Amino acid sequence: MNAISDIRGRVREVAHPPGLLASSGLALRLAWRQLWSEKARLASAIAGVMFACVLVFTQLGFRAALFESATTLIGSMRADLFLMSPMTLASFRPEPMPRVRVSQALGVEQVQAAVPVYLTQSSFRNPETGRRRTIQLIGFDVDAGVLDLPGLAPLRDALKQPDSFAFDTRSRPEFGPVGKMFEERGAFPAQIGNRDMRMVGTISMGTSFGADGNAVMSELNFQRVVKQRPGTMVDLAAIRLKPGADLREAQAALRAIMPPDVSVMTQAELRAHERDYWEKGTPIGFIFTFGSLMGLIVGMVIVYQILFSDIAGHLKEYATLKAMGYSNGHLSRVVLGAAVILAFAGFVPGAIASSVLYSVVTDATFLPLHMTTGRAFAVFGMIFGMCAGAGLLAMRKLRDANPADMF
Amino acid sequence: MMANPVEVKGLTYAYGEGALRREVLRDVDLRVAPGEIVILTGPSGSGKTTLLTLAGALRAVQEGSCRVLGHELAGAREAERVALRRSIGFIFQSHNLLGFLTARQNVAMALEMDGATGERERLERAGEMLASVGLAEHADKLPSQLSGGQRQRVAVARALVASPGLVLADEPTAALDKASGQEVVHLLRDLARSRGAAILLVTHDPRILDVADRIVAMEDGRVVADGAARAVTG
Repeated sequence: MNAISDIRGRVREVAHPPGLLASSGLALRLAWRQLWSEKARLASAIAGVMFACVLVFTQLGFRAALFESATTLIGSMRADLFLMSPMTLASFRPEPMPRVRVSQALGVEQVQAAVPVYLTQSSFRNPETGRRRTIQLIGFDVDAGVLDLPGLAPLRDALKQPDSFAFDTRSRPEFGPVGKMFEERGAFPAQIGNRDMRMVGTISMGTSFGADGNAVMSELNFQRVVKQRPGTMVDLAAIRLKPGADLREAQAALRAIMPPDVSVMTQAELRAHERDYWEKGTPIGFIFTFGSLMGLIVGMVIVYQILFSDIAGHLKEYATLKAMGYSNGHLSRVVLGAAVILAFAGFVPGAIASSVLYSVVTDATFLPLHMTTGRAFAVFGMIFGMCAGAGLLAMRKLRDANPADMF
Repeated sequence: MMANPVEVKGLTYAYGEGALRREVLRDVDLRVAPGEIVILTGPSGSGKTTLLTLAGALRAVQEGSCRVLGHELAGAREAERVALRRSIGFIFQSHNLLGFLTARQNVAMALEMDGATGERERLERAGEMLASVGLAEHADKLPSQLSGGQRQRVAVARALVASPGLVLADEPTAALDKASGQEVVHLLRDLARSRGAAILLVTHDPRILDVADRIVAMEDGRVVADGAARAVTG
């Protein structure tokens, strides 16, 4: 035995591994180097995450737009409380309630004003092609200032003329170039239901899943169009309270005097009621949730495939690292690190693409699709979870990297 | 007096259970002294590879005692075995280098599990180690840009860079021609000697038996000959 080995060959103390943060950094770097080395594979993985991201954004965007648009009408009403038939599921298909309830409401001390609102769906004849489409009609007391829609205020007097109405320019284009025609030649005749009316101005409101377009008119004109309806029935009553009145107390007071044929709701409650209908009463809410889930599952499968084949293709190398003293935990962090990198690398372009898509869809459908910070965070959370889930599944393959089989 | 890097006593190991149980090691004793180079040889199925994986803390000990670098492996937990492996250098039949890392980065990987080293120090030490295996000018090449012999030299550098007390090698010349095989094992021997690391090497290759201080022949799970290199090769 030579002398050097006597001096140097002492038993070494076992080295301490780096701390969690440092080793996570190393794991992440290794993951990145591995991903970067196969750019085509990296690109397809990112494309997969991006696809899932765009799909989820679209689904959630439509879902939110649906709920948002469903409450556009109610949201635009300047009222504190509402009376509505308890049978009404959604405002696009209201059950009437007796008009006298509106007057009764005035008997409560805190109430300053109570005005009826009439809602129905009728048809509108496209002034260019003559084709009919279903339109939402909103009738209300023009002077009461209940509706707060952009463009409505200057039209008050015009709407008092017999057989006049204002058209929502954010209605679907199938109703014809109504807004443009108005700009060019001013008021012009148009047919609603079976009645010839005059289009006297434009407002801006927006479509919803319940209504392709909207037309607003005075109470009286509404009754002229919708002849089959008795004048003693209304669809909604908007109640404004005196300044300083307590909302809950007023609601309780109204409930106390009202018979059970009307329910008394705050604006927030009515919006929630409306949203509830779309979310629970129709399969629409479920469809969007399901769509998002599908996107996430497809994305997860793609990421899993990429991570799995990365491990399966490098089993010997992973086993060698294990032989070198890399723990299973550390290698798991490498896999998770790759998943996290894919989450970020796919989310950023995915979110940008979704923003672009949102504006395209908004232009095409007139549904309000907006990229909100809250949704961006939520989707990132889902994408992150999706990638992490794929990573956790792929990690199981690491067990096959057994250093004892290497010899 | 310092402990032997490898101290195996009464080691028995079997694969399978019940009727399928097959003993591959039977009551094996083996000692590797500090700085000693021991070659394990024998026909395939003689258990030498299993012995190597047990000494390398890659398998759990079933029966008997196996002390490696002062740590008893019988009954050792997985985490203890993983930690111990960081003080052992491994060289496999194929180089098993990570294809997406340069030679230098591959060698530095052996230091990453030592929390006391910084990135610069790791790369520096890896560079020095590569220089000592004669690959200074190839340090920043990817494995795919190197020849088979060069890759195995990178693997030698990786096994030695963390100054292990013990190097375990399994047929390190299997994939190499005679010249590069000789070169690699001589390099391994010289570097391990200068660092005081003991080497336990499994091989069939008669061309490299001359590097050994001692040759241990195995057959059927038992040590059948153990002696100075000249005596066994006779």
